[in-house]
Amino acid sequence: MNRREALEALAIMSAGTFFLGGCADRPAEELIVNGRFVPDKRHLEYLTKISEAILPLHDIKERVGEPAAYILTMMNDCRSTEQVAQFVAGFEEYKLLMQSQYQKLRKAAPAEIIDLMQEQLASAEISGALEYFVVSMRSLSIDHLRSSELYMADMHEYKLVPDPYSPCAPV
Amino acid sequence: MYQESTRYNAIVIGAGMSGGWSAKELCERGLKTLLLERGPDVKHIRDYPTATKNPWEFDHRGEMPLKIREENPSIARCYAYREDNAHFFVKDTDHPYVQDRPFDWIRGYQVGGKSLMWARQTQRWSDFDFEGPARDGFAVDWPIRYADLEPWYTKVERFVGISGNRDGIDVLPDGEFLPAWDLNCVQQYFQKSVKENYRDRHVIFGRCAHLSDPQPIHLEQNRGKCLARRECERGCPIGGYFSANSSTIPWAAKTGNLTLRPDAVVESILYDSGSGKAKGVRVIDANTKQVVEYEADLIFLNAGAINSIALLLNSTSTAFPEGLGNHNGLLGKYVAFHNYRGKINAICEDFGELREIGRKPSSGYLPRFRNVYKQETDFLRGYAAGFGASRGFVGAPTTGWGEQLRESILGAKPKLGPWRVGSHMMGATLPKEESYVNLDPTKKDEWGMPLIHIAMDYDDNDEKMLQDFFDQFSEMFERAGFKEIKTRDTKQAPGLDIHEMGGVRMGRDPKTSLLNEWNQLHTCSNVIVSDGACMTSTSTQNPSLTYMAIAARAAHHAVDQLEKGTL
Ligand SMILES: Cc1cc2nc3c(=O)[nH]c(=O)nc-3n(C[C@H](O)[C@H](O)[C@H](O)COP(=O)(O)OP(=O)(O)OC[C@H]3O[C@@H](n4cnc5c(N)ncnc54)[C@H](O)[C@@H]3O)c2cc1C
Repeated sequence: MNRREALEALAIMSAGTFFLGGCADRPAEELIVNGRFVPDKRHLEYLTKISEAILPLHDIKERVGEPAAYILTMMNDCRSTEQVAQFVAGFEEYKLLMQSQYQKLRKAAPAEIIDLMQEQLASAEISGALEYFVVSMRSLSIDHLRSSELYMADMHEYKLVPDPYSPCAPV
Repeated sequence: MYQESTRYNAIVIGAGMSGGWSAKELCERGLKTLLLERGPDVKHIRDYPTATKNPWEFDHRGEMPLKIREENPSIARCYAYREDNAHFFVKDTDHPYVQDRPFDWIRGYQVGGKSLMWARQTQRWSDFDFEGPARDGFAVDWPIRYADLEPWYTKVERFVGISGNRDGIDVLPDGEFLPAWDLNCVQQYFQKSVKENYRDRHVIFGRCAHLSDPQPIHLEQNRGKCLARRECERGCPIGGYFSANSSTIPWAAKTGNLTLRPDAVVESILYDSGSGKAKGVRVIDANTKQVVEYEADLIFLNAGAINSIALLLNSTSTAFPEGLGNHNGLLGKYVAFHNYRGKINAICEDFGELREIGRKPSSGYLPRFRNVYKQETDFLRGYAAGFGASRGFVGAPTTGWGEQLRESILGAKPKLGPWRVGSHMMGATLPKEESYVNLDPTKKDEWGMPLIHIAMDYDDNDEKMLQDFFDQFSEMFERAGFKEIKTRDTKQAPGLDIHEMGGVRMGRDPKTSLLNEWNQLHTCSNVIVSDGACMTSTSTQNPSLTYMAIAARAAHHAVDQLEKGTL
């Protein structure tokens, strides 16, 4: 099944599930309020899940903080409403592709999450929205870690009050 | 009910860098002084909300939200406007102005003014600067020389606390310095290379308003040793750098003679035609818009160059229909700024075995060397420049996904990258009649005051100077053996240098200037303009030290005259 077929099939499937009610996801686009992405609990969990698949934090999460919160803040505050819309459309597309090609995102394993991203990035058919979503998720997950206390203090030796000045110290 | 006094010996308009000095000197001399500030109060320590935050504690980790950047394009272009200090910057949207040609006006409307946000570079002027207009035939001759200001520089430096070396350079007189920080190995290397290759060029430690070794006078101000945190623009709870908030204003308050009135927008200076003097000021409360008038014998205008011009233009009377003191139509004209467009960067491949530990609050500085002793180029005046050298940690490229990606980021400690070196130019621009500030005839601000209209631009002299900076610094960098030399014209609009000057210039002749040698309006002697508006020319040095020295000198003279009954 190519990407377009998968999406068409999924659109039909999701139309069906809509009537089943309850367990179906809301389309991510419905969660845009005044140009900002305001995810419900489930979408927030998805963002966390995707980010942690891209860049696992597990044992260091306490010092690094919650990636989804950071990603949302940066998206909503530092990107244009057009970019937010693109991100959300790409998110929705990703969810649907995941469901058609692997399984529901809720149940997807980290490897499946990454595989789908890599496959799509390698595909000539990737839509602008999906590409923007995948690239943004990866770069924001990296930025989140790199601007964290753990990275800045431990790896880059950042100190609010620096060590006494030494102009020519040996490396 | 408490009745606020409306009569004082002196009124100071603007509680920033220069106004703090006026207030301090006046209060010390025993004058009951009202310090009026259009912005809110910013109490030292209490009102520095971000001062002790780590970078990762900011919501956007330092990046400014897009909406704020889009709505405020001028401040968004300022290097210093960041998430951690944005609250000290005036938003373009809150206080609009009219730009005839692009001008990025960077302001700080609060007690402390821009003294909270500045980069603290403090270099004296010399007679090569004060004699410049007369020698090169532009603007008008300054009515003062270095000798007039020298004791005031000393006084200001002692109180402020300036770190620097006594470099013995003609164009940059030495002062009263606390110990300097050392230049790092690459800066020292460049210093040596420049010295070997050029007789008249020098690389020195950029003198800065930081307490490397606090003296009793600084401890008396409750200020402590600078820890070189380099988070200065957030406000320093230690008082390690000079701001009006940590230094001059609390000092003035300690005399018991100061009344500080924040949220007080001065609308105009009131002129009394009977006495031929100013009698007071009209103030609009920033929040309630209530109007109140205050009276005083002396009025000091320290609202920052452009606002001081605007305030005089807005102070009309039958005697001065074109603005107070504007008897010759020159008020607002001959404004100028600094040309900061030139940047040059390169890599130093040597010194790989050395690094800098800790931080220092200033960097290298190259005083002006062009056209000093004689005219040697096809442009007038010259430029100074900063010189920085640093090497940061460079993480490995972020590769892969999942555990592999994590490993690429956290697996190995980032390595020190190469030494990167860079200079930025600080060029003098020439004051011209066609560079001006005036008031918009129709548009008004929230307080009913005319919007300020700014018209300034670069000229041919600036373009030639820029090219010369590129040529000379490329040569100096090449001779030092630096690699990958890249020059860049930022093409930035005037204003981002944040050194706007002139418009109420000093001069000897009332026909061609507005202020005398003591900063008094020629035609209204109890109004003293002692901020950047008084500057006859711009030189290359960062100007605030000179503003402070001028403000202190002018205040003393005015009090002397008042005491003698000659004012
Ligand atoms: C990022 C940055 C870096 C800088 N770096 C340097 C540097 O390294 N070296 C250097 O010499 N200079 C530097 N400067 C410039 C320096 O800050 C100014 O030259 C200096 O503050 C000017 O002093 P001032 O008293 O004229 O104006 P300000 O310090 O701006 O004070 C003017 C005050 O007047 C108030 N005011 C204005 N209008 C009215 C009114 N109508 N009624 C009542 N109050 C009014 C304002 O709110 C303000 O508080 C820098 C500035 C910035 C922003």
